[in-house]
Amino acid sequence: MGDCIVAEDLWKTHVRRGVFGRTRVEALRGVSVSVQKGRTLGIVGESGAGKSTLARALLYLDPPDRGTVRFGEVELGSISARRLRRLRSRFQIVFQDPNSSLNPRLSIGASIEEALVDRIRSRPERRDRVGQLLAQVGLSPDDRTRVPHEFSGGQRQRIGIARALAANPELLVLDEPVSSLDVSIQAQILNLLLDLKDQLDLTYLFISHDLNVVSFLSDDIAVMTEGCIVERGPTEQLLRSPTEAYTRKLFEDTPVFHDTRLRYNEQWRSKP
Amino acid sequence: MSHSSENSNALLRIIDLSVSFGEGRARLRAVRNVSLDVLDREIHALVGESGAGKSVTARAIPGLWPHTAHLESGAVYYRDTELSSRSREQLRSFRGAKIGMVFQDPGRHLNPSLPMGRQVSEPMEEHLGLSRGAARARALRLLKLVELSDARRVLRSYPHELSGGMKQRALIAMAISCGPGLLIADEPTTALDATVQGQILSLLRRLRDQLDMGILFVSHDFGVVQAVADRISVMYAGGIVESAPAELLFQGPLHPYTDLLISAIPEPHKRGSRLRSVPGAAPDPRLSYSGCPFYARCPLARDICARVAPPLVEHAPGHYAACHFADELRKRDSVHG
Repeated sequence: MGDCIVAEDLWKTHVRRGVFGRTRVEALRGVSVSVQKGRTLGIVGESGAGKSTLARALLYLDPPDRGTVRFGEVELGSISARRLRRLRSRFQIVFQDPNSSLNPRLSIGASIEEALVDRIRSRPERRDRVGQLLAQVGLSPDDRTRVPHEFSGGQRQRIGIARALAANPELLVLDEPVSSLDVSIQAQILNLLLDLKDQLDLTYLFISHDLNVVSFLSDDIAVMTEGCIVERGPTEQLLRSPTEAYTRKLFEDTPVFHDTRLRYNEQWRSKP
Repeated sequence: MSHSSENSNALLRIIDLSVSFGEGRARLRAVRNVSLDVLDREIHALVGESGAGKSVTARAIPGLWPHTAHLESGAVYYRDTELSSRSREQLRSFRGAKIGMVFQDPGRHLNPSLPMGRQVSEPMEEHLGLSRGAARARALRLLKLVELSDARRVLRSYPHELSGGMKQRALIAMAISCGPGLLIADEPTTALDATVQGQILSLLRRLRDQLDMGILFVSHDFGVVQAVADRISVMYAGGIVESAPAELLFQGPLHPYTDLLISAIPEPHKRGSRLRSVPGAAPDPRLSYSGCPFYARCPLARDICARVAPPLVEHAPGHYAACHFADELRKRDSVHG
């Protein structure tokens, strides 16, 4: 399998203007990262580590100051704004707060349809596709006429995912998509993400501060701190034998849940 | 729950507490007939999903709840002192001295325009009658006790100059400053970074040992609760559905809701399979129902569950569950365990 996205030596400095003048924050300090097609890379780290900046830089929502991002064969920094816009349909992002990408006054059907206007000319076809997308994320096509506040947090996240999928992306960047959800709802969304990945051959870049969630979903994990990826490896291996001091500290100090039930342990652990 | 009457060393005892908000049709029953004990030196965690009633229960304690809340029934004792019938004013001084509190967002409970030294010292001047100098000396010792490095500098700092973790440590120092018997900690690590969370949890456990406090700890996070709690009570739809010593609860939960929730938590060894999730949603808190609140979502549900609300019953020593079929879960454990 080839690489879906490859980033090399990304640098990004944020300048914050405050009362006492400007402060410069080096949010990314030479990050190189790649995700193979069809795999899930989890990026874990504490707040301020640069995870979200990396996500935005990778997708050129907030281009890096230095460094290159290659999506398939295309280097994102070398193409025109117009071509970048067209290419955007192939990589989409889902945020923690789905409200940030949904217009509160617009019916969810209209919000999703918006993302389809450039791709599907015929209105009836577009509406069919909206219904199909809603069904795909576990909602009813009849929900299309409702507005965002009529839905629960979990349902809104499903809508956010449907909107991201509208463009038929190959890569989904998921930025803390389940962090504000209750455990039972979180499980439903994680299962949905797994189903969609199988059905649509998606590649995921999954960002989270939650070690339980990241280690469940990811094939590989990259650990970020202070704008750098300090360690990366296959999930099991990294969890079992982290080599970097920061990774060890992160794993030791983070309260992680361990299922110690006598009844289910055999069932979960005996799976191939 | 029934073990409350047997334990004479209960530090905090909540008996049959019911709390609602609003009136008439809009009346929302947030807490429904909750009884629980916090024993001396015990960390008792209330865990559950949002809307389960954890925070309202923990704050129902000494008149901490919002003015809109209505106490429908129940009594709250701190040792032998009945608290629920007292006025807010009467409770203020009692609370300051006997019951400390720590919350999710430490910033909101600090005064942005006062240096930390004043904020930590003031309650001690008020409740312990210490002089300014003595209170300040004690404040310095407290900040060292909560492992704030460079405590002298922290005393001179304003809240905005401190990180989230430092603020929470300072708030803990304030909460324990008058030597309370009980600490109420409502999601105290939720807003903090992962590694800081772990440090704060071990700090709380250490302080419990050093200061002989009981802690009522509220959290939605099973990982956090597993790291900190001695006893866990699981709340669902305003009631306690299960309560047990932490290890017993995690080894063999006796309520299907607890069991499903634990299955729903992602973990590395569950990778490659789908998580079990709890279907449906919790019942509308405005409704009253006669049967089990978990009935509609429960894999074990039978006819009786729709009609009769299961009481919280002791199924094994110290292990209480409110389920008609808890013994079936228990048998499954003993066969495979």
